[in-house]
Order: sequence, then structure tokens, then C-alpha cells
Amino acid sequence: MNSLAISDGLLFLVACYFALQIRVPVAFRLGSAILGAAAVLGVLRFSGLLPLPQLHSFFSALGASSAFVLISASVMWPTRIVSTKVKYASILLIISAALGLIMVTGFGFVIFGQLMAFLSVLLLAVSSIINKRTDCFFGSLTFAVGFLLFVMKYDIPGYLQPGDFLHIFTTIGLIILGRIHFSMLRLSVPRR
Amino acid sequence: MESFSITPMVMVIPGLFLLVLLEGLVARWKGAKVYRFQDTITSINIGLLSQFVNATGAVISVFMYNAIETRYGSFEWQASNPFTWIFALLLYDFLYYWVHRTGHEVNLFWAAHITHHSSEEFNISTAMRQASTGFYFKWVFYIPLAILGIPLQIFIIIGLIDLLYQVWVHTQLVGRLGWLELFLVTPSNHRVHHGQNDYCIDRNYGGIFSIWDRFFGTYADERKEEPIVFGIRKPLGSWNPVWGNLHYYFTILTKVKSTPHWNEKLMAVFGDPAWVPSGKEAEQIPSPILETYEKLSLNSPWKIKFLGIFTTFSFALFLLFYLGTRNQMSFFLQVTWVAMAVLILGGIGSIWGSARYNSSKR
Repeated sequence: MNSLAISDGLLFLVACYFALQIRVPVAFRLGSAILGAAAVLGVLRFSGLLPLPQLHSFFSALGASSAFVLISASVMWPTRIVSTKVKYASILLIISAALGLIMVTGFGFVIFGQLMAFLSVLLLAVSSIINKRTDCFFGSLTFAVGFLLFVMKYDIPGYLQPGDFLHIFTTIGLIILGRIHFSMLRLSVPRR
Repeated sequence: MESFSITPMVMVIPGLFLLVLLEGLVARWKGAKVYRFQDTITSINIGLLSQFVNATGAVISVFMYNAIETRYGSFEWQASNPFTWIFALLLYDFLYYWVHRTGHEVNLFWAAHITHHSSEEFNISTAMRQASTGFYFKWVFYIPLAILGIPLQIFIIIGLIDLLYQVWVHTQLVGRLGWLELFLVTPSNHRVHHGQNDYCIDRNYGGIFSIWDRFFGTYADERKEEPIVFGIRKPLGSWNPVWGNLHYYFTILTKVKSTPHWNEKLMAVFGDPAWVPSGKEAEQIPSPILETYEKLSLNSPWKIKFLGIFTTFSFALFLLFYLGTRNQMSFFLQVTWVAMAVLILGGIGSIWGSARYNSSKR
């Protein structure tokens, strides 16, 4: 089994955990679910169990153009309806997915998805600095580092491939941002 | 001389005219008043306009579907295998449920779909009253079919089957259909969908199967004790097919302008159609009662009626010619034809529905 399958498996487990958490905002769960779907298809593809490369590419593209947008929105505006209501989170998903598909599939602008992901994470980082939220900033920074290492095709020969860095840093970023949602919940629960 | 190709829609359109005629005759024989002259002509004109626009607009959907299917399509499907068709039809109908539901529950998409609901009558001509502006978003919902690799040809045929099935359910002449009501969209449960009574709002979105509505909790049975008032809460009040397609976009724009808050501006575009900006709750319109509801009506002189019939049939021929020859036209020429159709129908619509030539009342 190669390293990509293992790191995708790790991402799948963490993404699934957050997708099933009813206590975190819907947008965060939806974003995690998309990343989880891409990751499980990655496990099947890279382990050679059931390679569905086109389906994996699709969910990876969807993850880039929509999941990071949803996750960033849920952290920046955790109490707004775009984060808390299925309907509005779905509208954001549909619009970002449509935009991504038109640009990537229709116009052949293949880096558009990565650009969307990077921009949403950058926005999250800027908003964290403005609001002085260190944990948020580190979450977005982790995502950004993963993107950069992947785009720069950074690897550790014999151990880790560029995709591994994307998977590992996305997993860590998800954990950091997911914990922010949990801590916000703890703060919002009144003491007896 | 350009050669004329018999496309499916070229065959379907005369069939629809015949169905309207047939339903009109049966209604007359039964003594049921289900047709009104101006409403029918407007429905047909809106339908003709939508065919002009959508035949060209569908290029976007077809292009995107094909591009996505080619790039991401993951499985092979044999057209000779009946399972392919059954699976594709079921999945298409399920996705149609969500397209349709979104068309009712998101303001921007309701702006397109409202055209179909703007008739105050419910008959086969209402089925023809289709929106000209919905093509830009519907394709997104059918992506699952494309990534599963359902070939474009099967997608188009299944889409046509789903659309044509929905024609016959637009009638008041067929009552309840017993056990078929349990899983199929029928005239009875589709009448509920077109009602503006409280119990009808946001109900029965299914295309062929009503099982999706039952599963997602949006199903409602027709109530004998509460007669249905067809149409929309804020009536169109016009016989102009172009205005029929655009009026709700202006309503959204007015809502956007009426509030200084960004979140409310976004709600005006993406919120529920029943949503109103804060402080304007009094503008919400209550459920109507059939006995007191006044439909828009015109007392047209025969010359105006003749103009309506003449222009509609001329326009239908004009459309058939366009549909049969557009494959040989450049995209620019197609857009020119569509623009001409919009101008002509809009112009005729405002003339023949104008109070100057008729006495109108509500």
C-alpha cells in the first residue's frame, strides 16, 4: 500500500468524524463530507482496491472549489445561516461547484479550483488576523502550507509524495478548525 | 435552400396543440370551464418563447454535461440494457425533484420557475407555459448522472420522457387515480402543486414519481373541502410573455434595493420567496379563497382575439422552421433569431393585452 492511500485514509477518518458531528455547523460538516468522499476514493484508488480515477478527480476538484469555501465560511461566520442551515450551505456548495466546473471543465482553466481553495483560506487567515484569533490563523495557515507544498511538488523521496503533504496538512487543518467549533460550543453553553 | 430536420421537439409541438384542442373539446362536452381565451394564448406564447430561448440555451447544458461526462464519467452504460434506462430515469427523476424544489424555495430560481405557475387556470396549455430563463442553473443538478457516466444521448432522451410525462398531469378533467396516487405524479396531486392555498405551497415537486415527496415530507393530497385557487399569490396581471418571464427578477431587484443591509440583500436573492425585508411583514399575502378570488380577465373584441390566434399560429410555424433548421445556423444567427422572437412576442403581447384595445378587470 503506498503512502498516498495511507494519508488519504487518515484524512478520510478525520473528515468522516467531523461530517458526522451534529454539534458543528452544517457548512463545516458538508465541507468535511466532500473531503471525506474525495479521500475514500483516494484510498480505493491508491491502494488499488477499486480504482475510480475519474470519480476521485471529480471529488478532489469539488473539494478544492467548494469544500474549503464551506469550511472557511463556517469558521468566519459560525452563526450565520450560510453555516447553520442546510439550505444555504447547499446553495453555497452549488454555486461554488458550478463556478468551478464552468471554469475547469468548460474553459479549461484547471487551476481555478486550487485558486478558489487558496483564496478562501487566505480570506480566513486575514479575518483571523483582524479578529485576533490565533487558533483560526494557524488552521488556515496549515491548509495554505499543504496547498503550497502540493503545488510546488515537494516530496521526501521514498517516504512522502506531494499529495501526502496535501492530505496530512488538510487533516491537521480540519482538526484545528473543528476544535474551534467545539470550543465555541463550550463557550456558548451556559453554566449551571 | 436549407434542409429541414425533424427533431423531437418539432414532432412534440403540433402534438401539444392537438392535446390542448382535445382537452378544450372534452371540457366543453363535460360543461367544465377550464380554459380562458387570453390565458391560453398567453400560456402558448410563453411556451413558444421558451422553446426559442431554450433550444439555444440548452447548448450550455448539453456542452457542460458532455464536458463533465467526458472528463469525469466513471462507468460504462449500455443503451441496450433496460437496467441502464430504469436506473437513469429513476436518478433523473430524483434529481428533477431537487431542481424543482430549488426552483420553488430559492428566490433567484423561483424568478425563472414562477413563469410556469403564473397561469390562473390549470389545463394542458399551462404545461406549455415554461420558463425561458431556467436553463442557466438546471444543468448543475444533473451532474451526478454525468459523473456516473450516463451517456449524453440517454440523458437527453430520459429528460424528454420526464418532461413529456408531465404534460398530461396538467388537467382538471381527471380525478383521483386510486393506488397510482401512492407513487406517481397524477393530475390530482399536481393540482395541489399549482395551488396558492396555504396547504398547497411548496408541495408535490415530483416529475414522474411522487415517492420523493413522500420520502422528503413535501407530499400533500388534494382536499375536496378546500377548492384549489390556481396561480401565484402576487398575480402576474399581464398577458405579455416576455414580462411573464422577467417580472419576478424585478421583484427581487426591488427587494434588494429596499434594504440597506447586506445579509437582507442576499436573502432577497437566495432566501425563500415568502421572505420579506424586516419591517415589511405586512406585505405578505394571505391564502386566497376560491369564492372571493378574482382572476385577471379581459373582454376582448373579436378582432383582438383573431390577432391572438393568428400571431400564435404564425409564431408556432416560425418556431418549427427555427427548430428544424437551427442546426445549420451559426450561434450568432441563432441568438439573432431568439432576440427577434423576444422582441416580436413582447411587442405583440403588450399590444394585444393592452387595456387600450380591451376592457380589463380584476
